[in-house]
Amino acid sequence: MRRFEWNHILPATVLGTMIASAGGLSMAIFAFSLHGYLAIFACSMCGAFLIFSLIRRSKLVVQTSVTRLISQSVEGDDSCASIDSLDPEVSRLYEQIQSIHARTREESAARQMSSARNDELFGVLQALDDPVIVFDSFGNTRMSNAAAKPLVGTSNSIFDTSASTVFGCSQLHQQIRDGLMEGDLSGRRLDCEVSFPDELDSGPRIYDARLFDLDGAERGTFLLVLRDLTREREISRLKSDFVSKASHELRTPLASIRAYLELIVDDEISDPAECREVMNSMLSDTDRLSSLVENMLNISRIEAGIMRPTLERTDLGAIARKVVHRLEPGASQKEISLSVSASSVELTVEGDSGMLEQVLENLTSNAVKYTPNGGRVVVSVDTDPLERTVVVSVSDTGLGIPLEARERVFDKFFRVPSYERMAKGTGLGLNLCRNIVESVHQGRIGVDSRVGEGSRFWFSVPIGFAGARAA
Amino acid sequence: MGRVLVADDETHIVQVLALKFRNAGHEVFEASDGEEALQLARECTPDVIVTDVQMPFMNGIELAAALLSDQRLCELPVLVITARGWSMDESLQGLSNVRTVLSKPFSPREVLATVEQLMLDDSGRQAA
Repeated sequence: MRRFEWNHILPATVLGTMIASAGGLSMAIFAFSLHGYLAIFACSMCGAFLIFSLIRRSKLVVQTSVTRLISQSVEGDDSCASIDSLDPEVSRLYEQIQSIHARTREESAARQMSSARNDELFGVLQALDDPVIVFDSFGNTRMSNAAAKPLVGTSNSIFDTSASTVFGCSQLHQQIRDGLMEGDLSGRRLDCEVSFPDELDSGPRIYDARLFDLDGAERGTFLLVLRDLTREREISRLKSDFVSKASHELRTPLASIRAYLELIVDDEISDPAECREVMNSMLSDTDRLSSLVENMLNISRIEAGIMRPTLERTDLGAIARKVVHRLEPGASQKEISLSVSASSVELTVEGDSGMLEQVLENLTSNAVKYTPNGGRVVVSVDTDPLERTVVVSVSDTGLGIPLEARERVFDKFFRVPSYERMAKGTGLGLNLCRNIVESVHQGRIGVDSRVGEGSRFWFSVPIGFAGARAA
Repeated sequence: MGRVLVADDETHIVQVLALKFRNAGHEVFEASDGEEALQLARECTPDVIVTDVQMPFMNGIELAAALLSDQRLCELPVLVITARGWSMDESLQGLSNVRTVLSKPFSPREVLATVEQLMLDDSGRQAA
């Protein structure tokens, strides 16, 4: 780098003056002559040009140095090898510039970090399923996440008690007011459940409300977190409902076994024929209990995903013939015609043969059980080339199922009221069928029925299905 | 000896209770649902009705309510036997004819003793 020194200007000026003086001397020699004037003028011009050139060059050197230093500083290149050789003034200037830039860089980094953190926090807030609302001591909403939008709507005040906002719940409204009045809201749990109709109008949702003081009493920023308890309550209700129904179904056969045993112990059954009848009743109650427990366990295993199906090539036509053969004696007792109609094409699927046999047996035994004497039950097996499935259907000439019952017939413990008189059941058989077909074999199950004419229960299993799994 | 109407859609329960009551010398009428029980009650005027709760067509609660609203049968004592595992206080509110509630599994001895006590109470009330 070309060195720049301020004291170059002085010698240049002296030199210029000397040249000008030389010009002056020449002027003296040629005084009073035209040549003299011209020589004086030329010397003066040369001196002035020399001075101007030197000053200009020095200025350019300064400019170049400073510009370069600034650009190095901006680019963060602190390895300026020549800094020590700079003029002290330029060096000071350079240091000041460098300090300003360092400070600017720090502030910019801090701003970026703060902005990134804000974005992160906002993202977390938006991702929360629980509605979160931030508000000030005047009740103005400062921020709310996506989950809170349906609860606050377009309102920007938590004291907007219109029915379209969650604060329309007077209990919540009052408790927030009380909380703000009393102060010290940190972690305060509002003892209330808010029922608020959801967007889809599928009934009220239940929330548990919590209030937090975000920054102490100085600025008065508060956080309201609402936890949606609707699903939790629904699961709890379903669980309780299941336990009640299961307990009811278990108690009934248990009650008759216990009562019969007490009669035997009290010697109240003396007639051998009566005794045999009682023993048979107890036996059938015991079978009912085991079947109930087995069905409950199988359904639980499938629902919990711990049922491990054994995959093999399963001929549904062969299974249908086997099941019909097994149930024929029972059907004959009721003079019911029970037959199989299997297509001549290959009716093989990839599935658990034991489970699929259980489905067929449940559907066929139900048909025999609920078809009046002298009726007809047909088990049909065929393929559906379009859907690439094997379809099994069990048609009967029974009572038929009313529409409202048809929708619930695969639910746990549901029994068609008009069927209860005809025969006993656990209320779990069809639910187990649905679990086996839909969850384990990815198939479909359904029922078509006309009251007074009969019903057709059917299920289909994909032909090439090789991914049977525990549900 | 008295007349007992047993209503339950579980045939084994009806069978075992009928056996117990007959062995004790009572006359027994059997019904497999609430509607049938109400019809039998009107025809046979029993002294006590023993009924299950969950039955097709008309359940035990509806049966008790129907009996209470019938001028001839409103005094008829009802014994409810239920397999429900929860309190029935709410469902039975206002049904003054339901005198006792027993849970399944039950003891036939206890049922017989309760029924005979109800018959005694009822005859005492009528004498008074």
